[in-house]
Amino acid sequence: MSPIDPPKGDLAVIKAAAALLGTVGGHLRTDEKNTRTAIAQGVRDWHGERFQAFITAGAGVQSQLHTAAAGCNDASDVLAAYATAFNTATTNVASYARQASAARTAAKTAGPAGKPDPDLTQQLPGKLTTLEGEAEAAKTTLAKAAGTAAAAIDALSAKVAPVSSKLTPGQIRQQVNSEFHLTGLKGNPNGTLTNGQALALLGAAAQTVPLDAINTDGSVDYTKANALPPLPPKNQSPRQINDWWNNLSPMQQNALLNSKYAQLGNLDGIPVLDRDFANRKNLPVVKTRLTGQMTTLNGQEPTKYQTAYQGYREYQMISPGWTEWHNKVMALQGRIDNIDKVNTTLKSNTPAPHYLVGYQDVGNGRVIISTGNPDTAQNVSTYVPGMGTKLSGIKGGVGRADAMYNSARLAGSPSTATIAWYGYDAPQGLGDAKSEDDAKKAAPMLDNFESGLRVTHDGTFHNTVVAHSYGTTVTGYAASHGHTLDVDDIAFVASPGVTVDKASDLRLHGGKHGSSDNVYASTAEYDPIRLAEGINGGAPVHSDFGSHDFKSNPDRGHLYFLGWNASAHSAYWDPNSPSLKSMGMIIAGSGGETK
Amino acid sequence: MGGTKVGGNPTTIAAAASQLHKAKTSVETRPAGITSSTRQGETGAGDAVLSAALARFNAAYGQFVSDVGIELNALATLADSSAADLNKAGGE
Repeated sequence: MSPIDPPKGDLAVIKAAAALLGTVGGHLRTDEKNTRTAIAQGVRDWHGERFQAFITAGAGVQSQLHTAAAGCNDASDVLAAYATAFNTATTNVASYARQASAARTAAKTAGPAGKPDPDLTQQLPGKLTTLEGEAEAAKTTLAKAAGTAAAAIDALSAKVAPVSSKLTPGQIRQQVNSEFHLTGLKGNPNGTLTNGQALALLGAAAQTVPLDAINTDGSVDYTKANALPPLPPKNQSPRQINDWWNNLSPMQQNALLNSKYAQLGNLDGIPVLDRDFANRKNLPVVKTRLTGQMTTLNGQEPTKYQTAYQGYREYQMISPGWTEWHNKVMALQGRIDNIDKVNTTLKSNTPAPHYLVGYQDVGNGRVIISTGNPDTAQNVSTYVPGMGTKLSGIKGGVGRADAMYNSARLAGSPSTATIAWYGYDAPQGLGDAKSEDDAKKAAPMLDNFESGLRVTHDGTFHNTVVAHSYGTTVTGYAASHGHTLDVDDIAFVASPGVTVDKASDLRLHGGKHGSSDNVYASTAEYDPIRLAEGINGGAPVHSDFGSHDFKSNPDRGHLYFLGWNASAHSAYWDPNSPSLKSMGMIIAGSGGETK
Repeated sequence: MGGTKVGGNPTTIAAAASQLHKAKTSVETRPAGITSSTRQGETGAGDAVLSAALARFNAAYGQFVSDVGIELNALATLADSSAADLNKAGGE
């Protein structure tokens, strides 16, 4: 048996870090106050163009100090909470280690004359296994707390990023020069700051606070600064939404994220870290609302039994009213359980942190979870699932995304994000799956989502959709019928048809036509979906479709029956399968090498 | 915003510039504190995911506060230059 080791880390150092961050936050508050006083002194008797530049940029500097101070204090609180979790885990693990040690000693010495006790010796392995299991569970809980703390710290980091990066220096200089007519700035006598740098930074600072939130003494009215700007109108493109978002001040963004989180979390064009922040904020709110509805519903339970007659015989039957009520209870409980399932999935940090890119308690439940950050990853993929998909199955979808993440990494992807897109109401039975109706409704949502990924990404990247079963119908529709799907590659897996007859009918990133260079397809030999090929348009594995086919495991499997193996339809993500390996290569940008 | 006549009291504007220079000097010491605390956090946490997030926090906030220091410098420079010009013009 291995010894029970304490969790890695140092409580005193974590506490010291939390305290120091709090101290830095306090110092920044003092800096903010001193800056406010200095600006009030400057604006007391000054007017003209330079005064306008001074007061607007001064307000921006104050608000940035305000944000930084709050961020440091919030990060301090996060670390302090983690210190508490660390202390609990360490204490528990130490207790298990002591118990294990005591059990070993007792087994060795509790017998007659201080010799080994046969009974205790026999029980020892089982007892040690139990204690080691409990110690591991305590460490797992601590790792989850660390993941939660990391996500909170990342959200704080994201709040400061946009301030100086929204505009290029050239744009800022142009704007400042045209708005403020600033000429003749002498440069910095005390340092290396050039006129251009000074103008650029003042310009960036000046944009962070709305003009009507600046008081006459140059201080910032945070109530006005935080006043909520209206959300963009419906039907705006992800690009327009991204422009709108980037033109808000950081304070306005924060205010919106903390109030309109239900809407922002699902707006394509909002950066992923902000969507993740908004959706995580929304989850407990929705759960509280649904739990309240459940309490109300439980108080409305009708009489369960009613008297009925068969001929002259009287008997008790369950009343239709109770059945209707019971169905409502079960449906509501399912929606509550869904939130718990999302929370459980998000807690995992392997193979990479998970981001909640979308969540809506509508239809069958919609959720979008990414393994890795798609705004920064070099290779991004979106998994579009098929018939029978609903939010309650998100664990399986994220499991497939995780498997593809690992496969892409093995294929040489330097950084990856794989998204489980449960963002549409999938057909729940064969009857609906034979129609393109659900695909037609889902296509604009997938189209917008992929365009949103493109506009929020830092720089260029390689984007892929991996679609399965009816998800291929959705994806095919989203890349045709007037849509252009902003992806570089598509992998169709086990497709019943993709609504077009040829790969060349598909439109991908930049309006590029589909071809064997960017459209990949695979269907296992014994997958019964082959019986449905063509019901929703051309099947991409057909030789005249024009895609690049890759291999799937041809194993008949133990469910082989009348020429088909039902389990083959969901075996494409099996570990070490050729299809999973190929999907990883396609995501990594080397799909041309698949066989 | 353009077109307004420039004017003001160069003494109060210069005093503001002086205070802003002090604020700038103070703010420019903050990234060191943020780095020190996040490095401690990275060491103490014992968890790779949290350590990486703290490193990102250090990079983002360190740069952010550093930018604000430069902005304060620019503000002070603007005030200094304006006070000097107003003095030259005889306190218009």
